[in-house]
Amino acid sequence: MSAALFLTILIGVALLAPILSPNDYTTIDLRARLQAPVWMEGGNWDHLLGSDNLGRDVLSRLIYSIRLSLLVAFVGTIIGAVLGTTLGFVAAHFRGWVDDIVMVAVDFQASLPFFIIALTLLAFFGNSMMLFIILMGIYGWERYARITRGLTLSALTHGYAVSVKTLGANPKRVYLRHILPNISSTLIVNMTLNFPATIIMETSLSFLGIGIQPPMTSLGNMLGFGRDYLTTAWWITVFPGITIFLATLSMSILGDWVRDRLDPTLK
Amino acid sequence: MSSDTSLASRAVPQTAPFLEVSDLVRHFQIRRISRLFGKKALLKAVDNISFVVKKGDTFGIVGESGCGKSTTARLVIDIDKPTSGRVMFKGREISRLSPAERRRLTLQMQYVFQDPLGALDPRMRIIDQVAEPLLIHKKASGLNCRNQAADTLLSLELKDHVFRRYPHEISGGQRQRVVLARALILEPELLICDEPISALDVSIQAQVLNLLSDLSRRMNLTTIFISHDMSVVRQTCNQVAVMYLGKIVELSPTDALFQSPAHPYTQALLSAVPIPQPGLVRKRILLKGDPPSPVDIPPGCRFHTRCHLEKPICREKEPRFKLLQEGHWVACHVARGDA
Amino acid sequence: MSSQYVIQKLFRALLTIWIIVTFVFVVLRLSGDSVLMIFGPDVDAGAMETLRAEWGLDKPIWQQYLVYIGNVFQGDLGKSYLDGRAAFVVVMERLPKTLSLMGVTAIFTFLIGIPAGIYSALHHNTRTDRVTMTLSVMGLSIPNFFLGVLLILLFSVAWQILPSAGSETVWHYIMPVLTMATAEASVFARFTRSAMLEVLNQPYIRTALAKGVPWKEVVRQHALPNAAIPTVTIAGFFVGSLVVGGVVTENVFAWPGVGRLLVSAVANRDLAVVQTAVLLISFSMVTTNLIVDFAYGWLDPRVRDLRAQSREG
Repeated sequence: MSAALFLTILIGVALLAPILSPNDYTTIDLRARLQAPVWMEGGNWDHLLGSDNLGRDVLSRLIYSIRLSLLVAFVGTIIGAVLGTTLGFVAAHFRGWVDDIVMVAVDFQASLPFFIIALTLLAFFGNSMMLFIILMGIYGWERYARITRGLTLSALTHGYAVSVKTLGANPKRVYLRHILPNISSTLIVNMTLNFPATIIMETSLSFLGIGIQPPMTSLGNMLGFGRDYLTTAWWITVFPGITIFLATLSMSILGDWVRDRLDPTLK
Repeated sequence: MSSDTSLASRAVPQTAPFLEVSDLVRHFQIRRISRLFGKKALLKAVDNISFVVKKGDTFGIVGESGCGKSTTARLVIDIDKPTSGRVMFKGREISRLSPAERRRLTLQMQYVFQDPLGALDPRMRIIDQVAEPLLIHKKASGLNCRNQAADTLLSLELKDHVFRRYPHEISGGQRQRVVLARALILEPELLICDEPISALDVSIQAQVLNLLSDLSRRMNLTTIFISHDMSVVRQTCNQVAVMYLGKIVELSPTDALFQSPAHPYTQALLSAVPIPQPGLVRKRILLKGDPPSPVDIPPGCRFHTRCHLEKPICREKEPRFKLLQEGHWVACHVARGDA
Repeated sequence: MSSQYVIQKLFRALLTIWIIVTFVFVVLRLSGDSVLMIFGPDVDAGAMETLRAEWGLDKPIWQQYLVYIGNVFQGDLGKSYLDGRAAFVVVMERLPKTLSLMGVTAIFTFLIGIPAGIYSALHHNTRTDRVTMTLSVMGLSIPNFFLGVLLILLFSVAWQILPSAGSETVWHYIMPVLTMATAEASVFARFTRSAMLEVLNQPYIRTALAKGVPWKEVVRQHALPNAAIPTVTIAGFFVGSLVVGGVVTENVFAWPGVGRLLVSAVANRDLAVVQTAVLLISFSMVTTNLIVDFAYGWLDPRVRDLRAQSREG
């Protein structure tokens, strides 16, 4: 289960960043610009993975980037899940015009690539960390809402939800103690799909320069800044790139595995 | 029609009947698929029925699929709201109860679903599901609830190795008993069973039925029993209502109904019930044609299109309930008083 | 396909367009001064007042809204302050390059992805199947900007056989298309494979085989057409990801298309251009989804009846 192992390492790195990082990631040292990684000619042990155009240590930046990108993706996924699931419940419970509004919002969100919506909002409101986190949070809420609404509706019309209601349960109990545990596996599978997608979304936007801004460093903006130095210092882009790739790959593999385990139809 | 049936309740001392259903109607609006702006069609699932259930009765409602018996059950237990008409429990109209009174109602009136697997939460253990009603109504502390649940399950002849299992891990017969246990643990006064044994193997049906009658006697339970199986109803009920396309066509004590069925529909239903008497020659009454759709109800007596005793008046006028003998009512132009 | 279905879908499309336009309007208003948007930040204070009055920006909000909608449908979306010309013109002149890139990518996606998926399904659980699936998982996990960068490193920096920027010659197409098509083809491969597998497991396939119909015929006549139906549904997502992938790829390879324009407009807050590009993208996507809906309704008779039935009481 190398996927799980890799992810654990990543999370460990993210959590222990300040301890692991050999240098402060913002230290600029112009004498050591564009130094190669240690195993190549011109490299030294000060900068294990080389340095960038401002002499900053690539390894340290990488470690902190992992931390930030993972944090943003994690927070974003949770926000999206909670928001989407709640709206799904609300739509299923109240039906009528409330349901209609929620479904229109879902349709709207699904009709445009979120990337474009994010671009629009970032353009008009300017790029702030707050806005960015909110955007990552609402990325994908509509999937959770749709799933929750659909499964809740079918649970409500026939089955244990009706019978528990005849026993006298109030709606809160029905939703939290009965319906939610039963739909949680589908929601969790969706989260494992959403998480790598969020990482990609964040890194893509940062790569383009409209995501996470300096002095904060993310995997995406490392790649973005390194693009200009491909001919002279490929290590600035390649290491973050590989990290993103392996992170999303292992998350996808893990997600597949989770789905196979939790899929109720296989029971 | 309500004035006719309440004659029956007026003959009894003037206390409110245990359960009274008056002029109950449930219509569904459905949109036609074919035309975008077509007329909305009306599905008359329950079309003005009235009956009375006395305390201690086992009241059966029979009819073929689509006749409205399940809808009636849902209206009585208040899972569904009627289009018009009233359901009165112990003299109080259930739709007019305050939320607190409504909650108390669930302690007095319970429901057993047709599909036991669907009625149980797939992720909760049996013992927890049976204990849950006690927790909801705060009747006891956590541990006590489980003990009581265990007792109830044992009284339904479920062994303790079932307690910690999940619904899909036990058999159909066991599941139905679990659903029963869950409904009975609150010691309701009225139990509504919607086809409680239809989903079970024939060999298990008898066992569950016996359990049910035992318990009704011991707990002084009044039961409404919905079924399409005439022989089961004969065995368990003391009062029967026969439904067809949303209306009650015959209402009678069980013995009278089975000995001398007055309505042609009842006669046809009974003629199809096998009687274990080899060599007995019976005339099988076959109904003509297919059951009409509840969206397109025939004029006059709604049964006339399939009736073997049809007369011209049947096509024009809807028959009113008339009393044939003591407690035996029928809605038919042709049925004779001395049938 | 019933007229009800057509009308329903049309209505949904129009509603979506209306919501998008309103959304852009609201964002526009919320984000600050729209004189800035139309004329750029260099207008002096006095002129701003006159312009505001001229443009009706002192009128009540709902009137502005109507004016705005009118403008949108006339193609008057303000001026790009970076460029000086009408935003609409600026965006439109970049469109052909983007379309050509997307078109070529789409062709390669279909040519590689679909056959790979079908082949995998037909050779389920063989080594080829497993290899293909592993490759496709990797293909869709790699972020397209990274793939692009790697390709540049390999072909432009190390071997120096392909150009890494611009779009003049056929050679310029190779890397961008490769970048985009890898992810898309991987998605299609996985999807067609699972669609085919599901169809192949259906009873009617077994029946046909039991009747003695040769395997190739079964695949051709029964499996493929039925597997095509769900494939149509991802066409909508496909266009969406082409758009997004295109934006990023254009930036990696300095491809002079709408995507590159959009990103620089966002970075420079050239709001007129952003607005125009976003509206353009939205309209095309809604139209594509509409076409997909119609195609789906035409192909699968079960769907329209099912959808109509689900609206019953």
